[in-house]
Amino acid sequence: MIAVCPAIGFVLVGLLWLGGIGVSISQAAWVRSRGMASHIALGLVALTALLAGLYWPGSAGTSLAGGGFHLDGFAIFVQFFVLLGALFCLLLGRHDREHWPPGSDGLLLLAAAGLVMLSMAVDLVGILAGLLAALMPLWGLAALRVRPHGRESALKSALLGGLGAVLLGMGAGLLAARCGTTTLEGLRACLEGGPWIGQDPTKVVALSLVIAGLCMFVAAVPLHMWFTDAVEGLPSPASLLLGGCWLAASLAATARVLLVGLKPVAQSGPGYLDWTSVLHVIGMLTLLAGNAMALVQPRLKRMLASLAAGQSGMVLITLAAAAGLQERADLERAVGGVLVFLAVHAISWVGLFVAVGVIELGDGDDPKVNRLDGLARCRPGLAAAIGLSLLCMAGMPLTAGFFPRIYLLQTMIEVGWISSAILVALSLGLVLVMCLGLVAAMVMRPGSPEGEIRTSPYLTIMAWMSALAILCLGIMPGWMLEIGQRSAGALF
Amino acid sequence: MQIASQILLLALPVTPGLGALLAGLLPSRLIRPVRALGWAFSIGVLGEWVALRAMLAGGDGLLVSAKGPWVAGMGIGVHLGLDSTGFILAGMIAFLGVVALVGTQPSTPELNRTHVVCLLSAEAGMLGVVASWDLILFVAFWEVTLLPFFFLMGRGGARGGVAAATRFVITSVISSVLMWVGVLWLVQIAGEPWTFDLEELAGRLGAAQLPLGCFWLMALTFLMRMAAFGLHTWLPEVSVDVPTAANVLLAGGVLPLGGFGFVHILQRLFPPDLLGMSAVFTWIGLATALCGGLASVVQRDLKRLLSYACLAQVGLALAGLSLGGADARQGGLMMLVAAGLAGAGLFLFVGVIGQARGSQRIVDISGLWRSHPAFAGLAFGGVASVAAMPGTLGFVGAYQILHSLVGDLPGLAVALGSILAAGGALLWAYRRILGGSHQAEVWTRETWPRRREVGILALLTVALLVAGLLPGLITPSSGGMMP
Repeated sequence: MIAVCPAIGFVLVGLLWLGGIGVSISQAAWVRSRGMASHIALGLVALTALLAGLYWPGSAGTSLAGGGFHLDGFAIFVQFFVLLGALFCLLLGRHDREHWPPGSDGLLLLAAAGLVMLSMAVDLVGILAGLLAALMPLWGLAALRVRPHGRESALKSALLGGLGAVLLGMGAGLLAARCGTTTLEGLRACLEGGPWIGQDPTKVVALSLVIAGLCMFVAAVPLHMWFTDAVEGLPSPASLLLGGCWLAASLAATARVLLVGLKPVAQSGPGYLDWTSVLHVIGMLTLLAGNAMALVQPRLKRMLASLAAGQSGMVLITLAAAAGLQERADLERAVGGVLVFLAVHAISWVGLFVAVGVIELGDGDDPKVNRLDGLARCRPGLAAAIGLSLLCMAGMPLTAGFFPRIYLLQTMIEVGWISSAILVALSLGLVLVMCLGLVAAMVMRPGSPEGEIRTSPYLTIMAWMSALAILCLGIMPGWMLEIGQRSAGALF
Repeated sequence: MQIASQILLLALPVTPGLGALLAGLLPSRLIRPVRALGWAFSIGVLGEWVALRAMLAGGDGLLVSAKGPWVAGMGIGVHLGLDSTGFILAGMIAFLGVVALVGTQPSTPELNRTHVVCLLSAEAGMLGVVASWDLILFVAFWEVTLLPFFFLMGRGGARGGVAAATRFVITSVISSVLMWVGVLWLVQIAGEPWTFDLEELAGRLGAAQLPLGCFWLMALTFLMRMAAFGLHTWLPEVSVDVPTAANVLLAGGVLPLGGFGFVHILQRLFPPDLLGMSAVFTWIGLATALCGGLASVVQRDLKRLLSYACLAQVGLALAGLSLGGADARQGGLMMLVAAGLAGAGLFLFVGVIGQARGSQRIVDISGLWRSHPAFAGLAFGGVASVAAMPGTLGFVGAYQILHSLVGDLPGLAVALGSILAAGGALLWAYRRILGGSHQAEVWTRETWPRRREVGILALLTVALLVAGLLPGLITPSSGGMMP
């Protein structure tokens, strides 16, 4: 067990924050320094990822900021894939300078800093702070876009994100009033030791508000609209960060809240509705609606956002199921599966955004799905990488997406949710058919003129790295699953 | 000797996969080298099976197996093995791999590389399914096989090839995701530590009370793949619109694999009476056979007729496999192989004349006996096998199944009726396209069939006859065909 230096958490966030501010100012003020600042941003993200990786996976946890944040294996796992995702976002930004305004690299670093903070938060206020710290730079990025669509999406996500923050904040406040603390461990002790929650309406309202706020942030139906709009309206690198890393980190934080803070009240008395049942229904709706909406989207980014919402639904169902598990080993396995699922989600999004990068030139910043038609004829390598990411997203065997889905389905089966597992599996089948349709369009349909296909070394790196990761984790998943379980062990 | 047989076992799915990879790496303009590579690898796989056949002694249970860890924490391993059933199916798939690669070609030369890559990948996937003794490996191969089929069907087919491919994929995906849940449910029932190893799981589940829902989740997968009655509508639609190579593998690979899954997974993991469902399965099989037989009588499209005739045979095979007695089960297995070989040969035959004539409708084709007597005559082997004429493999299977049904008169009547209907319809269509006046002026290809097409059809006919006369040749075991 490696002891973690308490300062490392501050170092990670501080480096990214300071770097983000510096890079933003330098890029905005001195146009000629844009390239250099961009290099610095890349270097900073790589350095922080390396620092996080140094302590991974066998690190003992350490508390920061008076116990509001905790740097443990769980946090480091999330940080590592979030930072790697941020690295690819920066690469995508370098690929597409036209739609990446000056100063954006810095804002991306600030968002990454927020995500690092979020991953360590073990206090409802800290989680709220992390969510907003990660989201606000993204609002800025949306607003920086010249197109009115970007500003509209910034406004929409700001309003709805603000609503989510208000709900979560109010819930935290009410809980603080009843329990005297907002730390997850404190809440756990309060809920475990106190009378049955059904006798205290304030606590019930507080829990409802907390769950509603979290559902807003993880794009759960019917509070998901802001997410699809934001992914569509943001510049592509920021969309990648939002849909790939931000969503994954928010879901990880949700897992922490539900399975640490709210675990004692997972099951209420017979005949009463508990949060697991509510989350189960919300997750199922999110999964089905997200995947169904993805089927009919003509725009690529919107389609990917709907798919991501569907993935979020699947995680919510699993978390609700995991709350019913009693054995520590079962919980670790379930949450480990969720962690690997989230990491794989981020990886597959990197590959999918290669597709966005490829076709964004022709369609401006509103790429259509049918612009991928015939891509395999002129860019077979890129098409193969995109195809692999699509299949990974759908959980095809021999891709990284297969094994985490087995864990997720197994968790549902372990608590006896067989019909949910069947619905989830059928929904995955739907996604697989849709993804195969896209792959078929890339291979079988006549394509666009080659001149309209835009590639760059950055995009090639993204394609190769994501394809390699998807194949390696698909063929040799054991080590990643083991690390995921060990990281999840930090929660319990 | 054991190590050599294990190497050959591992090589069975790996060789075509490697061939597909190499063919995919070659430039698509190298048409002849790519094709030669495809031929070489498919013949190599068949050679491996023949070598394995020579090495293995008969017996019950696993004839050869190789085991290694994959995801140790989840109890998933790479466990490959062949029992008698798997061995026979592997031989048929290896043989049909050669048939599809040598006997068919894509509609345009540009599609040559895709054709070879897809066929070899499909062969690798199907051999992987047959050799898998770990449930996750089985599911993985089962699903991965979809991809080459999808592209094989979608590219270069007749009208509506993509629609047919999509229909096939949707049916297959629905069935395989249900299997995921069924497998995980079984593993959950088997308890900690998780294991997906078929032998170990069968041992642990032996005394457990298994839920019927779990059984049906897995059974539906195989019934859908076998195009059983009620779930069969995809088969005729898909068969009409896909290229001949896909037809060959559909008849010889996809449908028999459903039956194989039934034997390999269901009959191994669930009690012998299949939780009281074996009679239901027998009647599903008989209903499928009757549906196939009756529907084939009214078909006007040759490929549609063949698909219904295959359905009749596969239905009979399912009835035989679920009947219970050793004879019936052996008959069911023989019927599966007969359906695969006869279906592949007849689809090849119809594919060639359909391409030359530009039509697959029975009324558009006549006079084949006068123009191409040898080619037309060779197809009789397949027709005779579907009609269960003595001396063919179809007869061996049908006889054993009918013999087992003697105590069940309605079942016997349905089985006989389906054989008569399917065989009769096929014989009528065969007589119709052979007889009549020679239509030399309407054939679009001047020199057809090619020598290799005639050779492959001859090979299939010989295989049907030899296996019919000496069924012991295709299995290393004299008994113990089933788990």
